[in-house]
Amino acid sequence: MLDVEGLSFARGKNTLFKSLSFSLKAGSALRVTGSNGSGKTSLLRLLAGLSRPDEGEILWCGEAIRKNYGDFVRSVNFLGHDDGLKNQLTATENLKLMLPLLGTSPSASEVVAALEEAGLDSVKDRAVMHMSAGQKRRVALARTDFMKHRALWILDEPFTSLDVTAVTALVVKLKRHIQFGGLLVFTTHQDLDVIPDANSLSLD
Amino acid sequence: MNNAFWSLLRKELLLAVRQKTDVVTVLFFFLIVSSLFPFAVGPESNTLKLIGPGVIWVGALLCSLLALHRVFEADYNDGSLEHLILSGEPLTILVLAKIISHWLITGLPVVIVAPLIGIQFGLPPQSLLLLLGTLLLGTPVLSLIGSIGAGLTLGVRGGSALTSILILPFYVPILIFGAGAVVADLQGLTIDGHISILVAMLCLSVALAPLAIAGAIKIALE
Repeated sequence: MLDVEGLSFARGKNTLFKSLSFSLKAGSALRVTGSNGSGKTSLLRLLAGLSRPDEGEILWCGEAIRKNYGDFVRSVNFLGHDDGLKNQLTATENLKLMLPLLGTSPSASEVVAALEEAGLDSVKDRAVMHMSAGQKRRVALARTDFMKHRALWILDEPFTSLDVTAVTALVVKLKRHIQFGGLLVFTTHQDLDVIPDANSLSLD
Repeated sequence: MNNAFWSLLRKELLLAVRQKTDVVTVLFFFLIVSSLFPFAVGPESNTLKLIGPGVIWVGALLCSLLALHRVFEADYNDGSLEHLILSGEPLTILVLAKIISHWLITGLPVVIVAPLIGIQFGLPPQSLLLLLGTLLLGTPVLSLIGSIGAGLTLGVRGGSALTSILILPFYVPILIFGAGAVVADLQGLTIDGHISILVAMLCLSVALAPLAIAGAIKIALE
């Protein structure tokens, strides 16, 4: 479903990767590893179509993602380094006002249920600025509950700042996504073999 | 699409309610800048009447510049801008929602307060109404054109100063025809031409600015 052909990308004069090729089929995962500055985030941004490669092509269902980008992004669930949350709004408000932009309009009770599942019941009406980094990450990840219909999940360091309980819950969620035929591309610095069947790509 | 537009608009307005200082700062800046001029040029009523529209328009223009960094900077820094691109909705529509909210937050309060400042300059009721009308037509153009600059300088160090340098030349025609309409009316001249040009500038910027801004944002994120 996802084919990367001869991808090259440079930041200024620094070539991050050259002639990178791989394929990912439905129901599989790819773990991207590498040291700081090796290009993991850049690769994920390229896969989401947020940046353009210097050379090469990214194909989704056999078609270049740039050709029909509007349709492609409706298949993508992207979580970058930043959580995309508004500090002044509560966790509930952030989800309720962000999700319609992503093509889904859940009811208030569905949003509350997602936050409860993420272990944020007691802080769901607290402004995000008063939350810990881990709680913010959980709010951002709670979005994925409403993005199950999007086949390609691209998650940049999703386990950062999470406690053991949250990591376990997220792993269950990710495995379920893969089981149902979804694709997962993620990066992690941690030495976590969270998805044992995941393919591995090292950028070092 | 409508759902995303209204949701983004609601989000921006809710953020403005939570961050009242941004709105209040712009409004106070406008009141102070506009109110200083009568102290400087003296109480001569004819002089005040003639400079009044220009001073108020310059004040509105500076307020627009002051608030421009709000349009995209926070979204760029917290990652929300990426989600706008990945929403699958036309970016031009979402950009328009952001500019409308920006105008409602920073432009409309200035428009509402402007006639009160006009009274300070001794403008007659008819001129106050005309001032209100020209600002209603012109301040959205300031937001639209200004947002192009804000989009182009996203992620650039010292972006606010660069935005001002880029955008100020394009603000000049709006200033000339906006303030000029009120002054021409005070002098008993026809104002049809001024109003027509302001309407044309508004239509043109509504049609073209979101396209330019969407392109600028995509480039900035790449």
